[in-house]
Amino acid sequence: MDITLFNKLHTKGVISNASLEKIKAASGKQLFSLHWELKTILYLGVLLLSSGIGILIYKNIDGIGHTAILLFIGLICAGSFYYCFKKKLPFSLQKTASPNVFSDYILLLACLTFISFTGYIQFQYHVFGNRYGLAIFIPVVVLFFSAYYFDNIAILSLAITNLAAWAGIAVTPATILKENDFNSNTIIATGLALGIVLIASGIITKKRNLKAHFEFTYTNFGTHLLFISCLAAMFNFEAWYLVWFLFLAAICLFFYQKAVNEKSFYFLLLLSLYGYIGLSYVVIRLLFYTARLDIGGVYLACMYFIASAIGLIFFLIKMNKKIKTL
Amino acid sequence: MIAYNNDWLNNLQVQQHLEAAATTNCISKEEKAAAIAEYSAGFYTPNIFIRTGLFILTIVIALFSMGLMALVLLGGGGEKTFGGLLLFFGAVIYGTLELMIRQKHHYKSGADDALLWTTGACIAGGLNLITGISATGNAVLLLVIGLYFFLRFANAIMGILAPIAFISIVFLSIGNAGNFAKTATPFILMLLAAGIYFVSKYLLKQDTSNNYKSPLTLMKITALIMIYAAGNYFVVSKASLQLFHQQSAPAAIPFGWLFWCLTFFIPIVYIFRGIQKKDVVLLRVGLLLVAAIVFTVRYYYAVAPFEIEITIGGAIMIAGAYTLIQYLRQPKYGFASAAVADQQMADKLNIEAFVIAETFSGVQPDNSNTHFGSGDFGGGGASGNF
Repeated sequence: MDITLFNKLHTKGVISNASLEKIKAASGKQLFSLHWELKTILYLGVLLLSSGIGILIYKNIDGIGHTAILLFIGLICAGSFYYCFKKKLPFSLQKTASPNVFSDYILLLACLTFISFTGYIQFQYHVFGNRYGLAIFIPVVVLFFSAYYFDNIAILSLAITNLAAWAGIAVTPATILKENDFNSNTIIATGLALGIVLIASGIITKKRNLKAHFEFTYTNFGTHLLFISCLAAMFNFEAWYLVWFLFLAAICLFFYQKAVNEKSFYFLLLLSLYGYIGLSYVVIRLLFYTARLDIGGVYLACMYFIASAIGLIFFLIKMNKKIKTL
Repeated sequence: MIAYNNDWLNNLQVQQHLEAAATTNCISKEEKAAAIAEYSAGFYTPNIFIRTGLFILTIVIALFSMGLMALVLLGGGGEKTFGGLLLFFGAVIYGTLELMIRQKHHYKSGADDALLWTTGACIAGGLNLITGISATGNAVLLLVIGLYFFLRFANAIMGILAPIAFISIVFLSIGNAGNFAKTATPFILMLLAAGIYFVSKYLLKQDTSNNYKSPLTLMKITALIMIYAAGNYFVVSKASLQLFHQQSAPAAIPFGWLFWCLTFFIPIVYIFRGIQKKDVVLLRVGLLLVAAIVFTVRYYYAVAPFEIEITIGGAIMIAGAYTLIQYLRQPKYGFASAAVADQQMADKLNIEAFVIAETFSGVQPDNSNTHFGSGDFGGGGASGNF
């Protein structure tokens, strides 16, 4: 801390003698924390170890050593879970602190190896017969259980992405647009349904106070999924695009109220941008498909984008002020 | 020199110190409020989400205004006319940027960031369209633009861009020099990068450059990485291909053993000095470069099959981190494994959960249609809902 600054503040009479003493004492014994460095190394370690095991399985799936590998994964998984159960603090429906940084990552390792383990025994021994869905669904159950039992938001995110994978869609930020074929009606329907389920889970989580801090994770995944699926539906079912636009407007309204109630700038930004994409689509359609304009339409489209973006900027600035003063 | 109100920028620095002092309970909330009132700043700086929104929307406005202007003014003119228009547009946007900062006091509002980047893009793009600029010329152009934005707007990213442009100029110029200069390139570049490092380190300590802390810090980090890159065996051998206009890699590069030493040695020096000096920049760059050592070695020598290597490597990292966490549970020699007060802010942002979900997306989604329609798969849970 900048001692000269606080000395100056002290002579101006802004801070008291006691505070200045505290600052002087604190600046002498400032600790150098390796918290983030250690966390990153742990995270990378878990990442490498679990991917290494995954590739090991993949390469040796027909080899002689597969029983040994199975045993190896089983031991890591069981050992990691054992460690987590031993270290964990008593269960509560509120937020509980994790016993230490290390156990969070061991839990992650346990869950990841469990996913590999079930995948492996299904592939090799057909434990679940032809019910391939079950081989994905069981890890999802275990992930949700671990997320709640050990109070771990990272595992909850993992559970949600696996749930979505089980339902047939990818929901992680980098893959949501890349790996989903949003021209497929089933994907759109699944996306809409899962989005609504996740948002509803968020609401219940908060209302019933069941691990209320999990709410954001549910709502966040749900929001993106619902908005993207709704936009996809609008682009795909062209005949009904105005109906889907109304649906989009309704979602925007829902999130507008949420943003104002919870003072959330994040949801405000999301609804503005997704809503803006929908609105622009409708305007462009009206200009070029309904009114069938040519170059005049291009002029109008440019003017629309300039005017609407300015309008949206004013909206964001105004809302920023409004939410701050709430 | 700096476009933003200098006093206000200084006051922002004071406010940061006050926040830090308040989070560690050194000063009371009332004292903090009183001091912040004394050191107020009238900037328009909305939070990160609004900033993102303003950034995107400003870019939209700039792009479509440019489109509209091109439509009105150009009846299908060639590249050069369009280049001229881009330059003109760059000037207009720059004017807007200065105006927004002076009149509306925008500071890191998203709008000023967007205008700054569009100005740079318009000028660089426009000049390239009008005259075919060489690679060296472009590097000079980027250096000039980068330095100007660095000084005028203290933009953090320019702290990365400007030194890279500078080193590129030197590297590209050496391409036309004799063989001796070419052989000495890695050492010349290392010296220059080291120079940049010490200059930024010196400037960071000066009171006069107080408002350039973020670009200078990034410049320091970039310089450290460039020092390493200039001596790294992989980089040197790839770069010498380009310098000597060769098609395939030579059997061995001159002074190969020296570059192998540097490849291993530099990160270790960084980490060692980082711990010794408690310098977080050195330490983190050093740790990051350990990964570069691993990749370099992997590229030339396969020690064991890839999956065995990463399994063992992962296990070693977990064990090492565990040992250190246990060892530093009670702080020793001024080091601690637990988070200190101001670091807990990052915890609250919940970024970690996203990273984990992103990198371990687990199972790939099952896109086969059989899974949906029939609904009789996996009777345990899938009751045909999806």
